[in-house]
Amino acid sequence: MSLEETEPPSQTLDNVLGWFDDSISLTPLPGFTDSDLLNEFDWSQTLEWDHQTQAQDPGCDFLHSYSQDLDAYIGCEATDLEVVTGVPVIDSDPPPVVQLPNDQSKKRNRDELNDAHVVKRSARSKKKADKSTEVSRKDSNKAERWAEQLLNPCALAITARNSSRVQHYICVLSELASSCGDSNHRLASFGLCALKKHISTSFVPSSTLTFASAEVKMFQKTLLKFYEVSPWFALPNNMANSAILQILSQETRDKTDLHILDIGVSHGMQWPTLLEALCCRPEGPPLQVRITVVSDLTADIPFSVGPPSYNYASQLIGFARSLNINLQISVIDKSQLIDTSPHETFIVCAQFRLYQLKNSITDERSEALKALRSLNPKGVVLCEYNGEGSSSVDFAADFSRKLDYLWKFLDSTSYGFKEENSEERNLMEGEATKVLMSSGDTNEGKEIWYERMRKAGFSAEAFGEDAIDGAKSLLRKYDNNWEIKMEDEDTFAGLLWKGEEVSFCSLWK
Amino acid sequence: MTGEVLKTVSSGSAAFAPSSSTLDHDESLINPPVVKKKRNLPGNPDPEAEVIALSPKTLMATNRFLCEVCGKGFQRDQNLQLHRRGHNLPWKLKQRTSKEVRKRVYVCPENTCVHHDPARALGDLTGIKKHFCRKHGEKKWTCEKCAKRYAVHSDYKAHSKTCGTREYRCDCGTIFSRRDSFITHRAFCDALAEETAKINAASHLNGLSAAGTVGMNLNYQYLMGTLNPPLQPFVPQPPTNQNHHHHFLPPPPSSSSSLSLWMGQDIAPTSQTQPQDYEWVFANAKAASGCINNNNHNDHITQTANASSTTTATLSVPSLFSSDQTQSPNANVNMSATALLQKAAEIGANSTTATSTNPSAFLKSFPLKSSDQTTTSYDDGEKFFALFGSNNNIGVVSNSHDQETENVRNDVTVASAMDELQNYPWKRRKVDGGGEGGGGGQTRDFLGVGVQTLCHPSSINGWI
Repeated sequence: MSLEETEPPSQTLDNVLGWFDDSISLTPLPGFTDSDLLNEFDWSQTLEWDHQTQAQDPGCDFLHSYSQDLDAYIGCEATDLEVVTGVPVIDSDPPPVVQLPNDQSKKRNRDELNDAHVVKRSARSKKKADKSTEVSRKDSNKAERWAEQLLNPCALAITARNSSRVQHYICVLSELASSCGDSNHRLASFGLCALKKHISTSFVPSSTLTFASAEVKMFQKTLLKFYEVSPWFALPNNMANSAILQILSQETRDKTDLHILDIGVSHGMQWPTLLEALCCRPEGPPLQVRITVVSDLTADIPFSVGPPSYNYASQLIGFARSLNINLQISVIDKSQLIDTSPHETFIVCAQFRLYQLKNSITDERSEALKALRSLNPKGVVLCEYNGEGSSSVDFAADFSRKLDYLWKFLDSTSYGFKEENSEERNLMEGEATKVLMSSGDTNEGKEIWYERMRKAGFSAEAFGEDAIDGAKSLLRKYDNNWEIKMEDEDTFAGLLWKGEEVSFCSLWK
Repeated sequence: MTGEVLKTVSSGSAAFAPSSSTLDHDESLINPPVVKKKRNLPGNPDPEAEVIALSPKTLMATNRFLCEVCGKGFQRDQNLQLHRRGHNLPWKLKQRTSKEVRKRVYVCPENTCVHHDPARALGDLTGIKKHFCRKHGEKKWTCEKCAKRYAVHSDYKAHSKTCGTREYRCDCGTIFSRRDSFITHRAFCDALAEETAKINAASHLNGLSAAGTVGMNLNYQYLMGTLNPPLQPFVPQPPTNQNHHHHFLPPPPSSSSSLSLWMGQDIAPTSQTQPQDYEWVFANAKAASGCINNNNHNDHITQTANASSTTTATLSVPSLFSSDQTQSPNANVNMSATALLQKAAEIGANSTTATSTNPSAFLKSFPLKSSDQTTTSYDDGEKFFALFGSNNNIGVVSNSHDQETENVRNDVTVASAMDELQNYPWKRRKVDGGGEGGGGGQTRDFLGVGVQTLCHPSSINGWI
């Protein structure tokens, strides 16, 4: 087999064992149900597909084409050359599995792959001592992200209508994907699911764990836990609250009330700390605090829709009561009226919801911003995802960007939960995965948003020292792969995970 | 004999062979408490004091007294004099002058500062130095643990002693090291809900009297205005339920205990009551009925919303959750709980009838209300805005419009009433904030009373 030539067998074995050592404790043998599902695909339905390859024994051809694909992939991704070829050596996880059947070269049947796994597992304990642990990790993030390196080519193959290639990738992914492994395994699992859905409309994933389907208590517990372990939302919320306080402090005395328009995804989690901070002001809280929540139950973007009977308002009001704050909460539909009054400070808080709007021919985003402008808010806090800035209609490119986003989420969440496989983590991740199927384009960069805001008549405002210090000290409580970067004379606060942009916060007037 | 002795003794120290000092000493024994030096609250100086304005440079100069021989600098003249002894130079320690020294107060050199005004000068040189540093100075010291920055070294030292040692404990038993997690948890914790329920139950027994007069309302708002800042419900030590009750019982000073506008406008004591008793009643009665009302409101509204919700899902569609059903105590103060509930139902019904719009477009219309109604000074308070005009629910506009207008009018009323009282509550708040050491509520107890002693009612009246 051609694959044998790529590495010395002992190295292969070591890698395989390494793979087992790392992943066997976490996962049951991966993906056999997925493979079964593959059998059930009715390829005839999708007439564009090439039928030839379907019925054949995937073993030899599969490996053969996969290696070709790998070579091709290597060929066109010249810059990643070392990275890709390095993967089997460096990372203990992934593609070595394709070499597994190599060792059992006579066995092509997938069932026998099972046995191979089993055999290898028992052999593992004896060979453990020999396993070389001296694999130096490269610093590149790309090296660790093998799931994308399988998913992206697969998506490309789908758009290219290359069925054999698609099938092969799906086969590999099925083997590797695991919903309770590490972030790569999980991404592979979610990505595979999304691809299958894309290919075949009859595909139904085994379990869809999302906010809307969660039980209320569990949902709240999950949110609380997530805020503790990851700053993904906690940080933007914190900056938004600081900004609100900052704006309030600049107000004149005749403004006795505070009115916040909440277009966000915090489901109430953002407000307790703000309420408490309002209390701690020397002049005390505003006479009246109103929060108008814009609810959009039809949205398909992640995090925006909670369980239908989730009522956090009464809890917040009770809490406000204990702080002697007069709090009113109203929930409105997107088409309803927003009323403001002259002695209130009206602030809009738009976090991670506006990107759902289209940014193509009908520029809904700009329209929405203009609408906000006409409300004459005293300040607008805008937090959005910070992508690379290009947008295209191509499925594969779009998919790739979404995978990138999801990877950051899964990876950072994995660190936050310290890799434990808890219910809360699964719920958050299940919800995040909605991005793969959603219509929102997470990828517009901050520049475009800024441009839009300016066009709508807003001008950027700098975050004050307190806001920035508060954000930095909050971030210190989380994993140190997170960082915050202030730019544009402190009007832009960027949140980064492992050096890559995740989201940004900005303040406008 | 004894009688004489007694007489001698009882007639006081006059009978003793006296030196004046002994006399004084004895007198002070017999006539105890020497009046303690009255301390003005910071930022409110003695009007007769001499106001001194130092430049920033002078203010921050540390060693103003220099030895002519060796150039060593000292902060105090006394220290310099003692140093001069070492050089065998003539030295003289300045005695404290016997005549009344006029009290000195200092203003902050920073123009934009509140304390730049002589009327808000600070009475202590060290104090003004620290103030200047803290507010207008560069923060040179950083805490390693939490990266908080400080301009004054002593602040920094004080902080680093306690940084990270503080633990927050919720009623439910969970312990937190992070304040923000604690607060967020507490807001949604069941323990808090239970606590409120207990207070409701307990104070419901005290009986509630029906609403009052305009005068009463003024007082009501006044009290509202005198609310102290942090009601600190987070007690770092293990709190018990009893603590909560205890704190409600003794009428708290001028403020915190109480009550905000939202607490059942339909309850209030008579206008003749002393502020103290006033608050007492507020604290209990209001808490009770207020809470109960609110609970009922919420339930009722929920039912209404659920019953009439159509296209979009249940609870979240136009529902109004409010700790304050109406805006103004003036208009509705005589409304019973039932009436309020009915009103809520109306509002709920009206807004839910406004269904079917364009679910497809998210912000297709963010309409506001038109402003032709109001007769007051503002004209831009409420706007009508529709993105794609024709699709909007004019029906909705007019319905809610009526409701909101009423509220708006009420708002206006409230606002103007508040204007009158504004000076008092504002000032009071500031003062209180300053008086309690300006700390972040660290020494406060449950009701934010802190170390401040209870004020007598008369002192409150003094503000009026």
